[in-house]
Order: sequence, then C-alpha cells, then structure tokens
Amino acid sequence: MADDYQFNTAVSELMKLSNALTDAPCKNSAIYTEGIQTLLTLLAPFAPHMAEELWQSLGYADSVHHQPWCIFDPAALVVDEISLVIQVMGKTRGTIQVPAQADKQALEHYARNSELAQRHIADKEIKKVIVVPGKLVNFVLG
Amino acid sequence: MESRYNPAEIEEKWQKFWAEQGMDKTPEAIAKPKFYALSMFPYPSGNLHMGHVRNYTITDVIARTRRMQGYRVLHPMGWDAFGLPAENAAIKQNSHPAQWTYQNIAQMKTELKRLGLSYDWDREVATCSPDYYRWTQWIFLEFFKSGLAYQKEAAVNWDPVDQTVLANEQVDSAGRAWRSGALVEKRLLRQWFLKITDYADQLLKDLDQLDGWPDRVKVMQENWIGKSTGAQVVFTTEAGDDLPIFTTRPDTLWGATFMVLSPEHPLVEKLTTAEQAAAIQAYKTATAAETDIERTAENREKTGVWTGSHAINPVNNERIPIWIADYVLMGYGTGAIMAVPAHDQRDFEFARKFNLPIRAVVQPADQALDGATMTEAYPGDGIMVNSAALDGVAAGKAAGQSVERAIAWLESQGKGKGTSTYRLRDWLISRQRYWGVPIPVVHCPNCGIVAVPEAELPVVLPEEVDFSGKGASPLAQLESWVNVPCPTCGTPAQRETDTMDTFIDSSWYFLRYPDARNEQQLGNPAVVNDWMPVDQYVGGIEHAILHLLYSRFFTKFLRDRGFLNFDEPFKRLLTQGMVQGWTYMNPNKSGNAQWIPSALVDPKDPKDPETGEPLVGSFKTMSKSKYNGVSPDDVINKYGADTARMFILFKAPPEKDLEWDEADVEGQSRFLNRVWRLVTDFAEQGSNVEKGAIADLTKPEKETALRHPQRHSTNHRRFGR
Ligand SMILES: [Zn+2]
Repeated sequence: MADDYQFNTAVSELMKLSNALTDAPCKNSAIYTEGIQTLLTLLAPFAPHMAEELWQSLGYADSVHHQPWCIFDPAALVVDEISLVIQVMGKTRGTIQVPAQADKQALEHYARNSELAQRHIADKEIKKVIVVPGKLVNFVLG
Repeated sequence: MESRYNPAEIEEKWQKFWAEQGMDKTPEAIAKPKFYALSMFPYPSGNLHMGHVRNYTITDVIARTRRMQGYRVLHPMGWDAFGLPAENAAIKQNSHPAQWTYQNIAQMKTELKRLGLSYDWDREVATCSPDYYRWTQWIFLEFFKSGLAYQKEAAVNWDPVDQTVLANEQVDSAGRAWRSGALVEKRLLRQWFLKITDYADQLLKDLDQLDGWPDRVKVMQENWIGKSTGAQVVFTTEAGDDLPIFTTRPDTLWGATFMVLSPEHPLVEKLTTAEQAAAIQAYKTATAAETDIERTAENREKTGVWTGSHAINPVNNERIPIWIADYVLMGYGTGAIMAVPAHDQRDFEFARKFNLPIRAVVQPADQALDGATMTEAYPGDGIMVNSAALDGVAAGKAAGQSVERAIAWLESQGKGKGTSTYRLRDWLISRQRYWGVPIPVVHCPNCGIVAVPEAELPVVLPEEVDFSGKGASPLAQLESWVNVPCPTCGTPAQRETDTMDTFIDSSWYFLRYPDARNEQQLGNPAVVNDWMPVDQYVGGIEHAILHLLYSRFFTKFLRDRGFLNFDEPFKRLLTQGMVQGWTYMNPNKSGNAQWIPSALVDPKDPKDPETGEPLVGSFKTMSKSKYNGVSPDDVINKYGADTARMFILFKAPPEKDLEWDEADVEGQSRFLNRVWRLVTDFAEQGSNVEKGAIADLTKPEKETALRHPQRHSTNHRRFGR
C-alpha cells in the first residue's frame, strides 16, 4: 500500500487470510495466534471498531490502532495446492489444482465446476459423488 | 464478551473511548516522519451523502495505516461554509445564513462521527467563522499590497436569477450559470481581480513536479492555462493609433489581407466612418445579446461590418481594411486579429463572404494555391512564398523554420517580438452577496482605496441584515455598516460592500490546520512548513481545475511573500470515483420527471406508478434529482459503519466509479460476522496470546508448523501461556 491504494485488493487479501485461518489445521498453535493478531491488525484501518473490540477482547491492554503495521504475508498461512484426480465412472479423466485445505464439500464443488468434469459428464445425470479428501473425486452417472 | 456481532453497540462505545483517550489528536514535536492526510472539506449543505462517505473513508484508511506504520499523522476536517445556498435558504425561510449553516454543520458532524473517522477535531475550521476569515482578509491584503489585487471595469457574467456576477468558470458550455441554470448576460461593473496571470508560467511549469497527481488532472490544468507561443506585432491605423495583435503564425504576416476587431474594441468608435456608423452600431447591439460560446462556435455563418478605415501592415506597409466581427472576443488576446484567409479557415470563410482578397504565402509541394480559386484554407506545411525575407523557407514551428525565422526578423526590424499568451484570465473575485468574506478595504474620497489596518481585522460581517433577495447586496443596503471614517485621514468614507468568491476560502484552508488555533498569525511558519505539503489529498475530479489551480496559486504567492518554503501544496492527489445508485427512468418522459423514485417501483416489474409505462434501470451517479441516493445513516443503522466502510473499499478501486449494490453490502456484513466468530471462537478456546512472541518464527518454521502441527505442539507452548 506504499505507492498505490488498491483497497479492494487489500480487502480480498483480508478475506483470504480469514478463510485460511478458519480452515487452518493448527488452531492451538503460536502461528495461529500470530495469524489472528495479523488479521486484526490489518483489519484495523478498514473496520476500526470491530478490530478494536476483538483485539481488546483477547486481553490486550493497548489499542489495536497502536500496533505496528506488519508486513502482510498471507503465503505463510496458505498451504500449497494439491492435484485432485477427477474420475467419471471410475475412469480417470485428468487432474485439477485445488487448495490443500479444501474440505469434502469444497472438493466436490471444485470438481463439479471443473471444465474436465463438465466435458465428460455433459448433461448426463449424476447419481453419486465419491470424494476421497486429498486424492480424488469420482462421479457415478445414471 | 457478546457472542453476537452487534455493530451499533460496539461502534458507539469505541468512538467514545477513542475520543476520551484523545487517540486521533495530532502528535506534536516527536521524532517521527510526518504524514498529512486530507480530504477536500465539504460544503455544509445539510446531510452527508455517499460521495462524502467514500471520500472520507478512503482518506481515513490511509491516515490510520500511516499511524500504524510509524508516522505522526495530521488528519483534520472542516467546513467550506460560505456561499450562495445559505443565503438563498435565508431568503426563502426568512432566517439568517449563519443559523442555517451552523445547524447543517452540527448535523453533518454528528453523521461524520458515526463513521469512525479518525479526525483531530481540535483543528476543525469553518470558513465563515471570523477567526478563520480574519486570515482570508489578511491574505487578500497581502495580494493588495503586492499589486496583485486590483479593481477594473469589466464586462462580467451577470446571473439574472441570483442577481450576481459569475466567474467564467461558473458558466457552463451552454452559457448557463452553474448554480441557478439561468442564461448568463453581459454587464459592465467595477470588479476586484486577483492577478493569477502573473503566475501562469509557474503554474504550468511546476506541473512537472507533481509526480503523485493523475495525468488527466495535470492535462486539464495545462489546457486551462492554455499557453500559446507566437509574436506580438503592432499594426497602425491610418490615423496613427497602434493596433497590437498576437499571432501564433507570425510567418504568415505577408498573407494578412484585412484586420478584424472585436465589436467592443475601444478603437472601433474612432475608426468608424460616418457612412458606416449606422451599420456598426446595429452590429454592436446585436453582438451584445450573444454569449461568448455562441460567438465563437464553429461552422457558424460569418457576420461582420467594415469600419470604413484601414490599417498599415508593418511588414510590407500594405493598406488593409479594418472590420469588426463577433468571433473576435475582447477578453482574449488584444481584441484584434490579423486575418490570413489563405491559411485560416475562419478568416477564409469571412473573406469569401465579404469578397476580401486572399493571398497564399505557403505553397504546398503537391499543388499550386491560388487565392482566387481556393475552396478552403490551407493550414498545412510547404514553402514560404510572397513573403520577402522568408521566401523559400520551410513553413512550420520547428527550429529553423518559418515561425522562428519570422520572429527573429520582426525583432531585428523592431516590428514585433516573440511572446506567449495564456488562455488563463485574471481571477474575478468580487461577489455582490452577503454570505462571504468582506473585502477589507475602504473607499475614501481623498485617499482612494485604503486597506483596513491589520490590527482592525477581521472586518466582521454584520448580523442585522435584511434578506429580501432583491436589488443590491444586503451589505450595500446597510448604511450603518458601510459608512466609516477613512483609516488614513478620517474623512467620511465607505466600506467595500463586495464579498469574496468562496473559492478564495478554500484556496488556503489546508495551511490553517497545522496551527489552526493561532490567534496571532495565519499559522506559525515553522509549524506550517513542517506539516506542509499535504502528503495525500483526496477529493472529487470536479475540482481538478479551479480549486486545485487556485490553491497552487495561493501557495506560490505566499511563498513569494516569505511565508512558505515550498512550491506545491499537494504532493499526491487521489481523485475518487463517483458513487452510483440503481436508477429508474421512464424513456417517454423528459427532464427531471423521467427519474422515478425506486421506492415507488417493484424491481421485478419496473413500471411508472403514474402511467404504467415500463421503466429502464441503470446505474447513475447518486443525486437528489434522480431519487437514487442511499442515505449513509440508513446504511449505518442497518449494517454498522464498519460494514459500510468495508463495502466502499472493496467494491471498486478508489479512482473508479462505485455501484451501490445492497447484495455486496450484505456480503461484507457476512464477512465481518465470520471474522467475529473466528476470533470469538479462538478467544473461547482459551488460547492465550502474547503479543509479538511469534515474531521469532522464520518462514520455513511457519510452514513446518502448518504442515505438521503435532510436531510443534510442545514447541508452541513457549509462546503461549
Ligand atoms: Zn482618506
């Protein structure tokens, strides 16, 4: 934000950070604590009241608005993507890249909306979807 | 802690807390880099609208971020509080403009405070307050003492509805007044001017310093200043009077076959022969009824009248007729032109219509121009002909070409000199209105115009005034105020009753905030120079020309008076886009009746509630007349200020127009609710946090922690409780 005020991008980054924290596997860790601190600090100029309320509810004596601005590094919190295998009727049709932390529901969503699946399913009826987290999604057609 | 996110409760609580703690006060004298964040201050019209909210939110995020980044930040707010609407409201409601203005300020300030904007309210200014306009008057007297504030009789734009004089800038391209919409007339009045033209060249050159300004704003300023280079050449009348002209093409002087004067030119009367007198008088009367815009419109049938006299062309001593025509304006250049019909289309049309000679002095390579047979002017390149010393030279403005050679020749012969002219005019600042800053001078029959002594400032606006809205300004009607002894000789004298253009008030307000409560000076120069220039200025593109140009002018002038030590007031400028609302229009209606309030329309089946005709919906800039506004108070009541802020910042980049979309506002509300749950869940888990402890972890350690949280389960406790 030093030279260019692209607040819309900044807010989307805040949303990504918030999602990453929601999905984070390590909620009882120092790094998670840092994530929460970072989120509130970065949120402070945008939503100053909520950031202050949440910050002080965590037991800090000083105002969130007195915290030093941190270097925003969402990459540190977002784990890399994985390759998800797309199968139709048990036959592998290819792979797509999805966030490693995506849950079963999210994996199905990514798979259904992939160009790969849509090409091989076309307008056929989907009877069942089998999701193996971290590995594959298989569409059983009617 | 509340488990549910309730913005109404927490927002008011923290606003109160921050105010009590003085968190938004400007830090003084601490060793941190400074950052001056400024929004263009509003006119107190009554209510805050979404355009304001967007502007101030953008600046507030910048100010808050800079504080967290370790800057000492000045982030003030104030009111551009003089102007016509207050006076008009006073006339309609039979109240006082001050009362209307201060009520509006109170209302808008309450609304501003609900937005959580981190203003240092201790530095609030209102331009209508005597402790502010005392310094506006002081600056005027600085101009007066330097000879840059002067009076002259001038043809001015007269607004017949508001009964006042308008600056050229306040007349739109259709010749209508920018506020009342009335067709503007011409009148002669004695007016006060500021000599901004003395700074034209600096105002143009220093645009190069403004790296942090949008290019389009700089281009608009450049065009407004409108520099053209060429030569001043003096023609003479047969009676021996000088008729100076300015031309950007002095190389075509040998092709001048007649001259045209503005009908208002002071020599017209003397030049008019007895035979031509009636025709000239009739033409002058007809011209007086036209606007400048009409007079200079392209593709217009050319009109004009010969004065009966001739001038001598100084380059070849040729005798050429002098005409008058409405397309030459007295206010631009010298009010006289040489006409070169072979190479200027307007002159060509004029010459053909009145059978005046046409002589080509530039010959293109591919054709032979003959004045008798040409069907249009030839403005292109070629070789100079029929031009004595210039014959054979390449025609053009490049180095060594005809224009440069012509100027050198004119100067060597003492017949003219190279010079520049500007489109920029001196700034007409007189207003025949009450609700403005009194011009602090007295008219004495012995001494002439006398400045009110500095110790007697401010010249306070009298309060007991009659607002009938008719005739002369209320100040001129108040004899007890007008009649005063001359400050110099004591003779009975009269105060100036004109007030200043309100653009003056806003041309220096940014200089007042750094030391806003100083009663001895406009500001302590050390303090003002410390905070200035403004590091980030944010406001609407509608101020791209006037406000910004005038502010730059004042800054340069006060620098030259030894008060400031910098050249430019605003280091970076952000012009935020408009806020647009969904708008229903009935294409079968016209004028303001075509806009249908959305409250009366079913979005699923938009029909005109009166006629049943189908409506067209689109996003248009929010305005009262289009009934498409969204009230900031309603949004805050429903979602809270934080959601409104997040939406405004998220929906569009700051320079782009923003479409107000309720679904997206709700989206931001949901996001804040998710953050609320995320952090409250975290707090309830009993995780204890210690500020800064995590800073020791390197990025690879963080990645390991994320991939293998178990491995760190013992480790992280050293950061925990
Ligand atoms: Zn006197």
